[in-house]
Amino acid sequence: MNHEKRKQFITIVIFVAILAILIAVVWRTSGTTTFVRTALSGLTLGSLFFMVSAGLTLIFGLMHVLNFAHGSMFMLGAYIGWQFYTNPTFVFGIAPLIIAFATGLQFLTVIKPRLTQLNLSESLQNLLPRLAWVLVIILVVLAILNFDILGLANTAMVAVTTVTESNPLAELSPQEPLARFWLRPFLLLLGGFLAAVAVSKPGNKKEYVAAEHTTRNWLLIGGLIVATILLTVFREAWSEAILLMNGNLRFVLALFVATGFGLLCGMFIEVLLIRPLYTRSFFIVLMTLGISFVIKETIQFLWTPLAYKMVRPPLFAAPGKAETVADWLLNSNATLDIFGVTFPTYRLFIILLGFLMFIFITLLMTKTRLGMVIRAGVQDPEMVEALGINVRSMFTFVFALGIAMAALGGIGAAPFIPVQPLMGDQYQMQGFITVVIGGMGSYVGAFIGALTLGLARAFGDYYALKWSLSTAVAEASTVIIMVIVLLVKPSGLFGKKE
Amino acid sequence: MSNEIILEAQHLRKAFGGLVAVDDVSVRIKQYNMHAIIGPNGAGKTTLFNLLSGTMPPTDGKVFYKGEDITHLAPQRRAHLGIGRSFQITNIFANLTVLENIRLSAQAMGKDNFRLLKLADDFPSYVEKAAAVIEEVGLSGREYVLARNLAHGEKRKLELGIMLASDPELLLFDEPTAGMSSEQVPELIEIIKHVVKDNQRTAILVEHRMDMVMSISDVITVMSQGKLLAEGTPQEIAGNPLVQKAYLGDLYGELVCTKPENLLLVDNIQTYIGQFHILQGVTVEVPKNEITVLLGRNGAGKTTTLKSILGLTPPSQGKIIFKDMEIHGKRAFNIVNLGIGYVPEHRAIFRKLSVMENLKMAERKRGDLDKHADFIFELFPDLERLYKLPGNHLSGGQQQMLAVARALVPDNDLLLIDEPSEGLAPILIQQMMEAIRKLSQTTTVLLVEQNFIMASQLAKNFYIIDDGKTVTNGKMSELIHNEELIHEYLGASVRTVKQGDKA
Repeated sequence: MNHEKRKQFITIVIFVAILAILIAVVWRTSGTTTFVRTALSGLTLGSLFFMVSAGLTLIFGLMHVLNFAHGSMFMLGAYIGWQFYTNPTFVFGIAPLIIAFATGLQFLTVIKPRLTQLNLSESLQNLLPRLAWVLVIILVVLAILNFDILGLANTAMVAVTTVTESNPLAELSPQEPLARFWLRPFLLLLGGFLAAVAVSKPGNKKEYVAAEHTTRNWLLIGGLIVATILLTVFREAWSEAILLMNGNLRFVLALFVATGFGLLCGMFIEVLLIRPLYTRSFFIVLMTLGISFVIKETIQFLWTPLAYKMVRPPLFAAPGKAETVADWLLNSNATLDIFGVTFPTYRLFIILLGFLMFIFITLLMTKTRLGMVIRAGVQDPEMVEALGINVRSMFTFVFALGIAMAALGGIGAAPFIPVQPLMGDQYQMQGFITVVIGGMGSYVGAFIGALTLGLARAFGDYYALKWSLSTAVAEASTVIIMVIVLLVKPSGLFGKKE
Repeated sequence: MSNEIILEAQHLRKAFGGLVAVDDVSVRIKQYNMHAIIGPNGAGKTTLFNLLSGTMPPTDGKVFYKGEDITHLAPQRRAHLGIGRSFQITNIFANLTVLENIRLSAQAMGKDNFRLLKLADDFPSYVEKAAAVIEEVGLSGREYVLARNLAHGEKRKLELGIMLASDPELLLFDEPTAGMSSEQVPELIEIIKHVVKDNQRTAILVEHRMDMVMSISDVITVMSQGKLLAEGTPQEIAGNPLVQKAYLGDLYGELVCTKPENLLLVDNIQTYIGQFHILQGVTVEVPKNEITVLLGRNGAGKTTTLKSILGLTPPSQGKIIFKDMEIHGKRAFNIVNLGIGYVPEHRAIFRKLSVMENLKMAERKRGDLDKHADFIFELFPDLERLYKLPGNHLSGGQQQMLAVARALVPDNDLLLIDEPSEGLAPILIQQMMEAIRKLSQTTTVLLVEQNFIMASQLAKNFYIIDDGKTVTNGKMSELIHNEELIHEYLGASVRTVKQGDKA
């Protein structure tokens, strides 16, 4: 009966056994100190790989979309988080604009049931959305006309090179006066509303959908409008308040901001760019590649191709070595003594973040109704839809979730690796290899694959150095592992057979 | 006729997780025979076919070809030994011409595979071979037509030609008439007969249309529930009570009557799937609180009708009205949430999810499952016992029960049930029938059913669909006496009814 499970179990046992033997051999040959240090480095890398591959594998498993923009989203998360942490002027400068447009779009939920019921002639039905789109474009152009986005972006560009570290309390530069600025979010709100009108196909009675949760929708719109106004009026005050905040708290907020930004981006991309292409999977690959180029070029335009170093939050910054965890939490040391090894505390945080993310996904997939629906959707989306569940919005959510996880990985990695436009590409490549090793669509596989790859990289580097080989050996090791896994189990460690 | 055995299968077994599709089947195919393998839907015929052709490895057992063990030989290696096969789904190169398709197959069997620079026309033997094959399958004059421009029937002929070009001694056919309209079938049967009988070849034919098999086979093997049920000449099979039982089941029951009022109206819908015009005008009225059944051959468009109602394959024209609302053009999940439950064909339960999760998936409001759990477990006591098991550990019958139970979780006004008896043992069919009768006391049902006896016992009204059109409709009580109508449109079921009367 349990044939499949047993087979899977045996694969894992064999895999773990091989790993254990390798680890034992390495331990004996390298000594405890080196081993612990290298293993911890490997886990750090593995954590980062997992944060990228978790989203990749979820998105592929459900929608069969190979998201080549994932690395760019990782990078975008790092930039947004870094900006927010170092000097939030940029984030608060553009937030009113984005939120305003999104608020306008949110009107879709309440105006669609009304607009579709209108009695309009056929020509008017065709004309109205087009007219609305033209107006949307005009409004958006008017709204961003003369907007000094480069000036905003430069506010946090105190550190111009990788080596110098910036002062987190950078000077606040003067902003466009509110008397002129308020027009921009207002125009964008109007633009978003008109876009909602265009999308809801006025007069098309076939599109009519019974209005549900109307009060909830109105409340949401009301809340968004209030948020827009607050963000617009107090944008400078917000930046200042955030900058005066405790650095650790600011970093936690930066994690949330980057994740939320990833969620929003993911939703926009899925709804506007990916959704029309589900029947043509090849075009999706091209589309995601294109998106990644656009994001990278935009970032280069805003912040130049230079690499920046994000300062570590204070909890991981104080000089000196902590002897125990309690010691570290008390004195905020940069390094911690683990089995006689001096190890940077921030890397421990990255490991923790990766494991927390894995626990989060596991709980989401096994304990919640949404996870259940996703698991069912992986097998048969049509049947899920036939049970009365909106599969399209589930796709949107999973895509956004995957992107958000990559963005969180990005900001998590930012204090550890240089922040630069191409920082995501390497992690995307490793992410794809991880997904292939773990089995397309399996988040457990991605987790185990990521840790394996991270360890392989770390130990590869160690031995390359020890035997004076090229560091290419370490880079090749991940690919070699992939080849071996694919030869033994073509569908990956946890993959389904075709 | 020779008595030499060309293909032998010994104790073949194939299990998919908990589902044993083929269970200890041994068959011997004699040379120059037309050997048919038949059985009700879900009997394991196609799986057996795949085991013989090498598409799937068996879990247990062996396959011998001319005394040689070929159990683990890949399909292409088997082709070189002289085993050709055709599929239920058409497999041709759409962008090559008929001639190129067939010549390619002849070349693949030759020894010049890697002389890439030479033009194919420079190998006259292949061209001649291809011409002969085209003649044989009746595609003369169509040599230079692109395969994708062929009619469906011609594509099947081309496929047969591709198979013949590789000079097989043994031909394997998997439902060669699947998806063909009623006029095209006799011609294809004639060609198959000619190809096999007049040219001293051996053939294995997997088919569920009993009428087709009876006229052309030498030996018939009947499968049921993955097991061998009977083997013999067509005459022996026709008279075998076991076979009749497998096809009919032991079914009794009475008709239910209530007042009519239309809950669902399907008005002349047209549906395309890809470029295929599947539904070309289907009209169905479903009266409230009654069971209505859609009858027709495989591929007639019954399942597509259900899917069109649900919006899974949205109709391009026509109207669908449910509870006085126009629902065509809406998205499937919206339509379903208006109160329609769906039991799809082939069960489509979620294999990785437990029974409980499968049922929870169908909840529209929190607490739907608790509300209806008693009723569901009263109908299907098995499910309560299997509550925590994953779906792929259930047997076929249990999966079917789960599929029906899933549609009962939310409050539904209408149930669309697609072939609930598919692949079920007679005793389970009985239980399923009881269940449907019970649930129909509170819900309206639109049923698709191949098992005519079951359909006639349950349903009050019937619609016959053929080639994507509604042909006729009426009261079930009238249809059971109208043998002509049954003959004309229900194909395989004809014998079913007659044998049922005799038995």
